Amino acid sequence: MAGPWDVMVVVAKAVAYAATFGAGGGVFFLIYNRASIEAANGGRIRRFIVSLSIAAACASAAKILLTAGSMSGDVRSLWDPELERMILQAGEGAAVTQRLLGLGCMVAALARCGAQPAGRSAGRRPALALVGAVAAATSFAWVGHVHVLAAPLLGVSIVALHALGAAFWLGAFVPLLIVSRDRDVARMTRAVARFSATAQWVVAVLLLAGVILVCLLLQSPADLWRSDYGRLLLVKIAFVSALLSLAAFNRQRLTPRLSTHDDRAARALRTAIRLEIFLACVIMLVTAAMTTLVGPP
Amino acid sequence: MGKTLSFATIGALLLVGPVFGHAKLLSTTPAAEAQLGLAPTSLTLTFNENVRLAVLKLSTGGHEIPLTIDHGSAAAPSVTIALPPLTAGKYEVQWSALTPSDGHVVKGGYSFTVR
Repeated sequence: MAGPWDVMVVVAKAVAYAATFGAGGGVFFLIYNRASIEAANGGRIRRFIVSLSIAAACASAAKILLTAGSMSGDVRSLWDPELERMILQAGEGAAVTQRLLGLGCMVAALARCGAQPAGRSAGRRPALALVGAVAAATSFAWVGHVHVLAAPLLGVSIVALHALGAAFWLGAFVPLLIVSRDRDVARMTRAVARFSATAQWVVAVLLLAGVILVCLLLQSPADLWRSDYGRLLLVKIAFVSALLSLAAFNRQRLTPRLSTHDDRAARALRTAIRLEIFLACVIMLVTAAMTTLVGPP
Repeated sequence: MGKTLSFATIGALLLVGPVFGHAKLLSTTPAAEAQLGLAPTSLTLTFNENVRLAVLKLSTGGHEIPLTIDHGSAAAPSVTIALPPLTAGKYEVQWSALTPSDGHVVKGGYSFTVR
């Protein structure tokens, strides 16, 4: 039975996931959509990425402190350097270091770009932001159940791929919402269509990586309903299925209608994206619970 | 291409083998709910994999008994902590440990009685 400390650790981890993937996905979106983003919207997306990067750093630090607190159930343990050293030595230190470096690269690359579209920013800033986004998103692979596999490197690589796919897909929702308010319908339609076309391949890789991870972590299909881990995984699969259905509806029905200057389609798209953001947050929460409270059977 | 990918995936799955969940507590000394005629001089927790003991709290009648834990000790499946002289009473044990391999925290509690 999870206590209040466990709940706080799960929430901190979910916020770290959501903020890191949101920031990383925002960078990916800015880079591959550089020609289809209005300057003001580009600035909004950059500010959003910087805010999320700060939130991700704070949530990562909070997760370490709360884990120390959860170990003894005592508020004083929040500041116990011995416990925090143990946590950092067990993979979390490498994960947080890589994440902070990645977030720092993103912030450094984007903070001084002003209102210019990302692709037109000077020098190596897009490359630095991209490296930062990849580093931050894959930092979660440093800890987790795959590290006790007989060949952990393969498991870690698949987790990294899964995390990159999640960042690309889920992290694009808020930038899409920002871009969907663009009054230049042709430009907005180009951005949405470009995301949609790229996302279908990324989501395919993300799902394949997820299926391989499930095969690695569960010893039999019956573990899906016989274990707490499996039941939480089924909950996650249900929310991912809902998100995929919504994405398919957007792609098949709403996106084609955008080019006809259909205001109702644009409004429906914004509502659908808000729902996608909500579903993505729930998926992050379930994933955090799965990776913290229970382990594979 | 598709076939190659399928074979590579299946091969990788066979190569990797099953994964284990969080560390599990296998046994304790004194045992849970034990009624002891003689006060124990040490307390041992045995797990199914290497762990590092993070917290061990021993209390009786709402009072915590100070224990010394070496947080710098190497990970091991069994952890033994020396106990101070214990008087008659019911003792509550709360513990938490960290699995260094995957960074997960496990915790639990039990009690024993010294008559």
